[in-house]
Amino acid sequence: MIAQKQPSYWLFLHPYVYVSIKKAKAILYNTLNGTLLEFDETKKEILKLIEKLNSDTHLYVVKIRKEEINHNLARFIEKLRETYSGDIIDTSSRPHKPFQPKPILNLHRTLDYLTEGGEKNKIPVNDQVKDYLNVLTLYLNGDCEQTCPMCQTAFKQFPCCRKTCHQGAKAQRNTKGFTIRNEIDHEDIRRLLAETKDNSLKRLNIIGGNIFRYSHLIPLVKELNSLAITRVYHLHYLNLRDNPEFFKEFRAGAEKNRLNVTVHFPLNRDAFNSAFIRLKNEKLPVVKFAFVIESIEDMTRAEEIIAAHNIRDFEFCPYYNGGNLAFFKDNVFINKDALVESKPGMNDILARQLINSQEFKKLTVLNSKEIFANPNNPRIGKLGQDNIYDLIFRELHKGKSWTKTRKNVTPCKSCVYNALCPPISGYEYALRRYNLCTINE
Amino acid sequence: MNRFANKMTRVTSEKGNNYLISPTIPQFLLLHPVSHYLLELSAKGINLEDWLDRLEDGDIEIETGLKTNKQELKYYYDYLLFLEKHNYFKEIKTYEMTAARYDAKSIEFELANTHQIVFECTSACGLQCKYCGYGALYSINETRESKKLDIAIAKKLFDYMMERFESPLNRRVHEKIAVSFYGGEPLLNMPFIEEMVAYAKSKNSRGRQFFFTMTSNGMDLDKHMDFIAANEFQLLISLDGNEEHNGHRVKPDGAPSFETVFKNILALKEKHPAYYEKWVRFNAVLHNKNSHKEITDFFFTRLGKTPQISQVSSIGIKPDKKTDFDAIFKKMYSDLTPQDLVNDIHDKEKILKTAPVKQLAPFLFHNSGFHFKSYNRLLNPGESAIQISTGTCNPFGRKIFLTADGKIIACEKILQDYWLGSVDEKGVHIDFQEVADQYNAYYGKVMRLCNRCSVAAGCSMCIFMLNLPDDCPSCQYFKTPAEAETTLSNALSLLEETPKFYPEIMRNYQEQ
Repeated sequence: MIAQKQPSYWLFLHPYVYVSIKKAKAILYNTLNGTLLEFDETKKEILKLIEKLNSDTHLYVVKIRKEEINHNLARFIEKLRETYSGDIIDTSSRPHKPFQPKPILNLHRTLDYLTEGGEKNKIPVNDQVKDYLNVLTLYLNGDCEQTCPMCQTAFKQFPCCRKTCHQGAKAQRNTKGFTIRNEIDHEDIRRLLAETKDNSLKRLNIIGGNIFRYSHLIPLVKELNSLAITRVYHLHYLNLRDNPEFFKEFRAGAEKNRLNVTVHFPLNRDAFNSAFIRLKNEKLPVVKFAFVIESIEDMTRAEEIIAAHNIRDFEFCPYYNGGNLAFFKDNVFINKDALVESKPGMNDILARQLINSQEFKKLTVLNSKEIFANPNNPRIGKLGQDNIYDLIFRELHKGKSWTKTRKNVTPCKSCVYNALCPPISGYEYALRRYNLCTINE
Repeated sequence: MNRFANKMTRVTSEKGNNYLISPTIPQFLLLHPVSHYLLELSAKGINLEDWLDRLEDGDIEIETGLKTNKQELKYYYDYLLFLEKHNYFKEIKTYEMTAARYDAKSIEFELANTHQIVFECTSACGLQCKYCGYGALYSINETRESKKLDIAIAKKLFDYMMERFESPLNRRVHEKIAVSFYGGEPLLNMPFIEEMVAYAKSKNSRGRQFFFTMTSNGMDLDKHMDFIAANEFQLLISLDGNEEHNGHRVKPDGAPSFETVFKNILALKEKHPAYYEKWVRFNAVLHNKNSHKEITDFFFTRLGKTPQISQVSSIGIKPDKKTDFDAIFKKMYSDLTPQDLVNDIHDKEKILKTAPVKQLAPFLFHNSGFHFKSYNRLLNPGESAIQISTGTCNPFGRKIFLTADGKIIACEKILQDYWLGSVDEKGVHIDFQEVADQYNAYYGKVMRLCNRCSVAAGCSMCIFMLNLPDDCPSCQYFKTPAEAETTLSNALSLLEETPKFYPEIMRNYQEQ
């Protein structure tokens, strides 16, 4: 007897669909239209099928027999088609198995490829180590007369000034009579800038202490004005006093100079108003206000100020103070909807499995001369002792910051959404937890 | 309205599956037969929207035995609109190049970041291979004199390069730089090699280390193997297979070279097994006396290696030697059937060195959508690189080659007519602007050809392999749209046949 050929289909996913499977959960995320399909253990046969589709053996294409198509499978196929995430082709019209490229990243030169010696010491092309520095944050000094409560910790969460004067420290006086403590030698900065000259550095954050108390501020601003990089000077509004010389030089390099004014609450209204008037009078072209937000009330206050002063360029910087977890849960933690709304593309997803794109190519130099790839992790070197590119090379190879991804931290590594999530942020270090999300709650 | 036509390539594999290759998104997509049918209609100039509106309900046969209906057709039309929204049908951009692509600064930058300094230790060679680029078949033979490279001249170039490496233009840190010895036969000038190795080692610093490579015919390997192994030379030995396959590699008196070379290789393998395993590779030239299969079988069974295979150079053939050349020449992969390609794997570890992988890797890198040349490309997908014609390296971008008579060339594989500078006792002479002008002029010549070529986007052809003295150089890899479709179809057919190559290539293969 000749067996009758069973009707069957090629079930396939499109290559722009990202698949993640963890324990008893799987997601199919369409990177073109942002649709997310989720499957859990209530649909075990679908989970198995997705696992099969995602395997290196089947590469996004499996054969299914018509008689296998029960209600769940039919619904699955329907969802794939509705969202343009996949489809079926009748094998009677296309009997040979088609090929689909499932997403597998091939980076011409992975981090491993950079390692010295052995077979991997091939001649690489394209990127070079000196391309791996885009943003440098430089803490000029630690001197400041303010007593903000956030001072010692906020800088680990977002670029923010930080005072490092200590009672009893031996004081020196500079020419203006200010106390000099913990400031970087101008020569060290010159050497650092010379090292990075003509390379990929795009942005320099200049922060204190109070940078107005830095001994060599004016000569430094003059020198920075000659560089083709964006310079962002950070000042706390309480420190925004008269400094005509600074403002003059700032205006001279206006094309690339930015001023970032940190505001935190409770607000000293008089001081804020006079700082605001000063900025207006100085006619500085690019000023951004960074409001440090610890609570929902802070948010309301910030919005009032923004409206009252018609501030156009501003940002909110949530600050974890150790006691406002509830505020963070309500306002900072990401939920699934926000995750999907952020519509990460395939490139984002691939990159997030390899590097922390938020930290990558950024270095911070504290006024102690310590250099960090991320100020929440141990220092990677010291200014004046280490070549900046030696440090970058080391960070790429053995570092703890640039290559720290959700793929290798608990609990994110076992979360099915980990590649869709934004990179690990400073807040997560501050909160000592890696999942600022409500996804699995 | 011809909505989707001429904006993409539709490719059908040998087994009949349909794929879409977008001109703008570097990713091929499997097409449902109905989508394929709609694109066919669109290519014929049919306005799909009107056509669908006018279509009556009921089944419609789109191919023999394949029926569909209005609802399905509408679904796949919407799918095509979805792809259109996501730029899959964007207009093809021509590969425009300005005449002033390079300037003096860009040349200087490339030089300061080169990966390899290659010395032609001597133009002399103990063999007279019949297909040698400096042999009787080629016009260069008429001007070639036997000469040794002066160590003082070579050191001048080395010092000059050190200055570039130390300059602010250099962006490479902690990456090793190759010092390479080429010939003729480099081992015929061993004092030069020994002195240059010592000199380069003396310039090693914490941030910059040199390593050594050599291409040799293996005839004098027995005398120098200890030095070569001790200095961990990455050694490429030329050998075309067994005695019969190696028949074109002969001594000046016509005697075969195989026995000597093979004996030397076995001695090296026995005396320095770890070095042999790690650093020794082979290059075999494909010609009328051997085949892909014979070459790979010989090297695998007799020497435990998978060789790289290259073809006889087709540049600069003397017109009166064309017949002799044609008798020897065999085009890469031309002696392999698709089944051979599939079977050309001896074990999993060697898979990445096989002919099909070498064929498929460029296709996948260009069309899978998951290959990125750098972190910058991965992180900034919008920041597309300037599209350039051909696969020519930037001048000095990879290497700088110093000939035995002091000429500077971008690569040892390029004819010495295309020299870019020179070195003499007074120093190094490279005029960066002249080099830029030279390259820009060459590109100007091939621009029109590339703009008409259907595989220009994934081209890996070196411009110097074209006949540049011609006003309108031709290219053996030029493809019309129909020819390009065949090439793409072959690649997809091979992938359908051997999908296991895909994860191997994407996870483990590094573009050369």
